[in-house]
Amino acid sequence: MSKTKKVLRLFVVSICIVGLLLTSIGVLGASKSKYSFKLTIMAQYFGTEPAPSNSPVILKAEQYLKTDLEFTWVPADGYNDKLNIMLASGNLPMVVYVPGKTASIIGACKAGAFWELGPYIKQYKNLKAIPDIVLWNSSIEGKIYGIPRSRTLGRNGIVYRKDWAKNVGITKLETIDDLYNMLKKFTYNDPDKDGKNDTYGMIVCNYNGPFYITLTWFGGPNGWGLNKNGQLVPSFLTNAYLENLKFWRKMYQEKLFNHDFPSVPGARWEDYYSQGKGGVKIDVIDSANRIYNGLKNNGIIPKDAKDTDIMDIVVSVKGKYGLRNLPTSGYAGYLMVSKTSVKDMNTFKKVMSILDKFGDRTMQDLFGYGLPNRHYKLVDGKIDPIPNLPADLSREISGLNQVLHFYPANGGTPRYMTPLLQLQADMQALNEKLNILVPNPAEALIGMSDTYIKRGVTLDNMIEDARVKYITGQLNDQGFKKVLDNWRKQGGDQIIKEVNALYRKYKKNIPYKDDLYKILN
Amino acid sequence: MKQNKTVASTIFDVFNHVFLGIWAIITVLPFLYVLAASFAPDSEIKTRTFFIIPHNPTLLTYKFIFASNYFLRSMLNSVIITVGGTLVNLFFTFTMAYALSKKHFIGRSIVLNGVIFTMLFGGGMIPTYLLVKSLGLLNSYWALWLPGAISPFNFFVVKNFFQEMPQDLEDAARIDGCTEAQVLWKIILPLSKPIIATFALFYGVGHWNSWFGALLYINDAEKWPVQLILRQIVMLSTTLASDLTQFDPNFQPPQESLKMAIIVVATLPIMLLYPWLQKYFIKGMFIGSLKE
Repeated sequence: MSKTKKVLRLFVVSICIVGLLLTSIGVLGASKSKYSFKLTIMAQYFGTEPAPSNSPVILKAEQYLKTDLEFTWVPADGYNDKLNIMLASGNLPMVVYVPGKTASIIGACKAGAFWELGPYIKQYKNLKAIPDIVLWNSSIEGKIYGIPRSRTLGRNGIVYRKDWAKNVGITKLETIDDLYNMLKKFTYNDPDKDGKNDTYGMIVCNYNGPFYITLTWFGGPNGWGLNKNGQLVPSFLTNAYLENLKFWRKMYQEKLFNHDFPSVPGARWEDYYSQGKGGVKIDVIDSANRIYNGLKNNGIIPKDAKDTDIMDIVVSVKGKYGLRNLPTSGYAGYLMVSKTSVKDMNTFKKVMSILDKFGDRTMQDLFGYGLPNRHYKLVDGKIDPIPNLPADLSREISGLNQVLHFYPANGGTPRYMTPLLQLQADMQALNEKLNILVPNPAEALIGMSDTYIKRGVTLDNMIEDARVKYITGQLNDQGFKKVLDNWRKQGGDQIIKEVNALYRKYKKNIPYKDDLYKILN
Repeated sequence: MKQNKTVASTIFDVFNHVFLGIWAIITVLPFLYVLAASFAPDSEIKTRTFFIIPHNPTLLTYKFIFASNYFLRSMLNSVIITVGGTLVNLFFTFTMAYALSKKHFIGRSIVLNGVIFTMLFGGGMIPTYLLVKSLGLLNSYWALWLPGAISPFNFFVVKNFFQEMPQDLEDAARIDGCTEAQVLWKIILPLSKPIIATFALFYGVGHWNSWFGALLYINDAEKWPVQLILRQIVMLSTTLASDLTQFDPNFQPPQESLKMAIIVVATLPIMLLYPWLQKYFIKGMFIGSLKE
């Protein structure tokens, strides 16, 4: 019987120990406040671990803002679940990162869960730098509920292997035909000089971005455009879309890109380039540097190869309609102020002024790069992040750049640039300078269309599916037309009607001229 | 024990062995690959398709994992959650099942029907969250332990097991002067070791592998279990290219080999637990202890 007594005792004791452990953790976790005002923030982070609350970077920021910062970090992949549950429970922190316009967020904004920032945003010295186009793109029901986190509008372009181009004797890349010619030579003329037929002009994955970039080259709209009757129509109902489809099908038939593209996950996309399998990438300009680093790490190019000899970038190529390019929406998610924890106007103004300070140079440097001589070095007064930081140092800044809105755009200390990074920055600026970006007038409208909210995902998938089938030759012109008719019947026409009604209602809010989004083809 | 085997049964045996052997290899190979890949540099993972022996073995990723105490702490958290949670599960499941296995328990059928009701209908994520929140359990491990303290299915298995126990045992104990509690502790539970071990494993593995509860209820990153971190890293390395707009342009996704190493670190402990409980397992979940 003593044995069972032992078991029983062990059982009780272990429960006690566990309980003690837990309470002790609780006691250790308590922190004392140093400042009169406390700001609670919920944000996502992408690293392996979020920044601890005693990170010197956070302490420094608290000192600068004279505010206690209390972060709730959520792993990026579970963020939406957590956000929805916090929304439903009315338990939100003061400042909440919101990834995008989901139905539940739109509903919450309508129900008054968040402060409307529109009337106040121009009163703050940094926040007033937010461009009107971004404010409009990010608006919900024509109102501003969040501070958008700035991203480059002109982020897309064409990145290609300069050394390959040299090997196959290509000197210019200006027109769509030049590009086609380049893809062909990169596929068949052994651009890597290894005697094997093992390269593709480009690598394509299951992400449809490149297709929609090339669509603008053929005179197509960005998402939605204005037709001759002054009506907004979605891009896949235009001639340009069909022309673009034919272009892609031709490339597919000539094996200028990989045939297994529908099953290549986006995460592996750049890996193929880093292994020297593809020469052209029609995507974000900043992939150039990542590909260069990948090529170096994989030993495909010599360690001392100069980056701008390996990679080159052009913003776009000319078609019949001149230079055109697809912009991004100019922002990635918002910082919203919740009404459940910020109850009165005074607190709200205090929170807003702190968020405004997040745009100050000190804060952009701190949360963007960390501390000098700890996380980065200053080279000629420019920030050069120290590569491969040990885990305990890199965690001190992990996730912090997720709460920066980056307004004004160049508010922080400039970053030290390698020639390629400099080229990337120049090209992104060139996109906007040349005025070739085609805006999407329906960006802020589509989320208000009831039919789109209900059936948008299904309908989008229908088109996406047909697009892939057409490129791979499983669908002909007639079949594609049938899909379009189906799309119209199953709610597409209704969406067009609703979007146009919204367009008429909000047209005066659109901050750019309508000939920018006219359908040319 | 020599048996005269027919040709047919020999063929059948051979086939069985071969078939099960192949099956075992199929299940073990992916894990061997993960193990091998965790010791390989990234460039090798990306250039070779499948391998069991890395060409240039390295301990770099493991060094990275154990360089910060964050992983070690999350492992410890997982151990606390698993051990604590399993004890809570076992305590509540077995005590409730024992009481309800008695036919003379008043209101028994009402309670049992209540349990069946919970098997069919759940409150859903948000009401459960609100309940946990209003009980003040947020940010404590009790939020992970109490909401699922008794799995109805397991409870019924245990209850039926107790009902199978011969009444004579209990009567004998009574005559010797045992109280209710003593009967359970001294007679019944020692005879239930196999089933205790079985459910300890079930519950334990469940706690070890769960991450969603921690995501919802635990805001403090210091208290997260290792599975949450594992998930984050695995998801990050398979993120969509379109999500790249969320990253700053200098973002480098985590190393492939790091993903593999964390999978190894997170699954080994619970795998090592299995041989330990194996002997009880073999006895089977439903085998009684008493030969009448």
